[in-house]
Amino acid sequence: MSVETTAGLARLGDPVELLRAQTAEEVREIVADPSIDLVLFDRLDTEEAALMLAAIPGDGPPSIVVIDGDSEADALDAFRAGASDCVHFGSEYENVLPVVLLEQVQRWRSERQRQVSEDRIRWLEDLYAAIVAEMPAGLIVIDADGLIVTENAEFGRLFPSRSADAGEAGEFLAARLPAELVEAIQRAERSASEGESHCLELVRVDDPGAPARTYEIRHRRLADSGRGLLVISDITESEWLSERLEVLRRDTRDIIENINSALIVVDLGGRITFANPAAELILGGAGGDLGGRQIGDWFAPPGAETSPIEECLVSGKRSRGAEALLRKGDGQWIPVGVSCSPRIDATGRSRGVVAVFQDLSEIKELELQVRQTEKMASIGQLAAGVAHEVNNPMGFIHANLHQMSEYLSDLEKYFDATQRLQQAAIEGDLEVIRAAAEDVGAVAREIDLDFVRADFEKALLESGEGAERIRHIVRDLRDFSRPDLPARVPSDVNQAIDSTANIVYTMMKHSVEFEKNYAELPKIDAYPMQLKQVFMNLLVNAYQAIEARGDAEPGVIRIETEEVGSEIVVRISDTGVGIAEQDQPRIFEPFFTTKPVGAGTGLGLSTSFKIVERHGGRIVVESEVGRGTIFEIWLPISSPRAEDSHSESDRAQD
Amino acid sequence: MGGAPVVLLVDDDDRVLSALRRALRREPFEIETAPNAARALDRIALGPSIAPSIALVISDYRMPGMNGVELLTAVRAKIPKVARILLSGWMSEIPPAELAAAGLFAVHSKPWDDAELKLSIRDALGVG
Repeated sequence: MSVETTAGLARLGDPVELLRAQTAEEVREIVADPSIDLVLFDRLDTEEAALMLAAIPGDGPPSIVVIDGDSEADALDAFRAGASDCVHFGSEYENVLPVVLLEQVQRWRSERQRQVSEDRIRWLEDLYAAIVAEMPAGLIVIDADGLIVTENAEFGRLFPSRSADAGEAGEFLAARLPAELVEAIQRAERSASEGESHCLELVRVDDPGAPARTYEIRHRRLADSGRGLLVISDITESEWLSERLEVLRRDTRDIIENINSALIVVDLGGRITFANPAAELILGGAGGDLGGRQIGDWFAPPGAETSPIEECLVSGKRSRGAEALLRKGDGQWIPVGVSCSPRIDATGRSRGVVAVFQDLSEIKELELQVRQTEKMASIGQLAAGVAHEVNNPMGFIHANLHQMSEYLSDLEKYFDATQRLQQAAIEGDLEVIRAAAEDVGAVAREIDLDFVRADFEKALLESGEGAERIRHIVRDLRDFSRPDLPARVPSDVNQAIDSTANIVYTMMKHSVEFEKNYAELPKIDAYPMQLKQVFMNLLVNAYQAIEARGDAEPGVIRIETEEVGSEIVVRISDTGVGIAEQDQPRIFEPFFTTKPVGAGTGLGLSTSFKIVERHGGRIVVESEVGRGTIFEIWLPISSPRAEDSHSESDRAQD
Repeated sequence: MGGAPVVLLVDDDDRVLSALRRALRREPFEIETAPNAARALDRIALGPSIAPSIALVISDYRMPGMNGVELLTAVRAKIPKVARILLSGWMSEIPPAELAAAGLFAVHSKPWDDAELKLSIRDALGVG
């Protein structure tokens, strides 16, 4: 750059930042920066200047070409190549350059400013148009006379024009809107002061023949004229939703307040934060003094583990119907069934537990009654057998007694005759003695003395045996119907099945043969009466399955016991009718029965299932129609301890 | 028709048979016994040249194989003139229709009354 140019730039006053370019490519790069105010070509040859000038885009910064000498042709060439202005390098150059520079820079800057403003306005206009077009509410501007000046598409959709020249501005509000809305807008117009937004009360429009709709209207008086801006939204849907939400909220509250189940909410620290009335009744804290108390206070039976609620707090896992003991407000321990769900907030963190529980006292009581009823029912099924087996010996004992009393009076006759003979012998009259002796012989013949003597004893023995038979039957029945011992005791499973089989056999020997094969078994901790009940149910079923065949040939019930690993298995198989395949999945359901009305309660197998489950065992069934059925009862040799506490609570009800 | 009429007692419990024999010892008829229905039918089938005819069958109900009502129904079909009496320990287990089919002269339940039983046997046999 020449000394003169430098001097000229210095006269601008403000400091100037200079960037140098040697090629057209460098010029193109530099002018891409929007902060460049001017390009100065300092005495280049015409061709080079033209190349560089071409590198400046049309909307780029201005360019000034400094021409050596005062050639007008050169200046013309420069203007032709796109220069904004030319300065001749000569006298006064130092003074002319800053003037030209300032003029060009100012013009360029104001032009650029105008451009930016125009862009901004255009963007705002586009934005405004987009908002108005897309907003999910009807928007109109009305003048002081209620004439619609402008409207958006949504307004047209909400309130379609009714006139033929639809869409043209100039319709009156009243022509487009329902009367209720027009009135509301007029009220707003009167009360609104300039520039203030005014939200009207919601307006409900009842159009005959269509569902009622609710609109929300916002009104703003525009600053300049008497015009007003109105935003109208159809909020029928959202109003309906919030109403619905309120109804749901109320329903939920009603349900929680009125259900019989107790419902509590427990926070992470195990404190009760909510209890419904049913829960308050059980926990005994009416009057709100439950809040904040530890849930563990109610669930702490001596020697028990943590409550299901506390388990749920720790594990964060749902649990259903877990049984636990709970101490009621009045201090009484009751069995409850508890279902717990963790409360998880939106971020997935646990906030505590919702627990629902029910007093199971009544259910437990009923369960016990059902169990006893079922036991009696299985005996009831044996009634015919019992009657027969008791009445047979009763029959012959009764007849024998009658007969023996006759024998006795016969023998008394003989005794009298012998006494008379004895008396005659003492008196010593031979004739009388002979007559008395003949009389003794005659009585002996008359009463058939030898027979009576032998048969009396036989009748006595037989009657004694009959009495013994009755005693056995009664003892077996009493054994069977006796309530169980208060705790699990080491029990001999072979003995339990065998004595039960004996009762069944006594009652049913006429159509059933028994085959028994008992292995030597260790004793297991069990409730022997409950096991006998299971065996009785299965044996009676087996007997009835055999009876149902209606064969003349006696069926066979096979009983086997075996020790398999850590378990004992009792296998009861019969040659009865079998269980239809479609019935097999249901046989353990309560009240499911295929027997004729009155022949079964439908509880036998479900009760058996429960009893075996209580012993930590399982029942397996295999059956084929027409061939018979095999039931296997698997019992663990060492009893599960967890089951014990459960059974303890069972027993508390006895 | 030679000697006294013959009564056949059928029961699977020999103690019952024994007691019945005892009770009917001095009655004006002969007594034979059978432990089940099959043996009873065999006995009835015997011709008069081999054994005296049976005039009355008294049977228990609940017996292995054929029960008492089935037996007496079969007797009725074979030799209708043989009188039939049922002696049962549990009357209500017998379906009434089956009972009717046997055309019984009398039904007695166990324990039985000696005097009544003797009376209905005499009536059935038509003896004093």
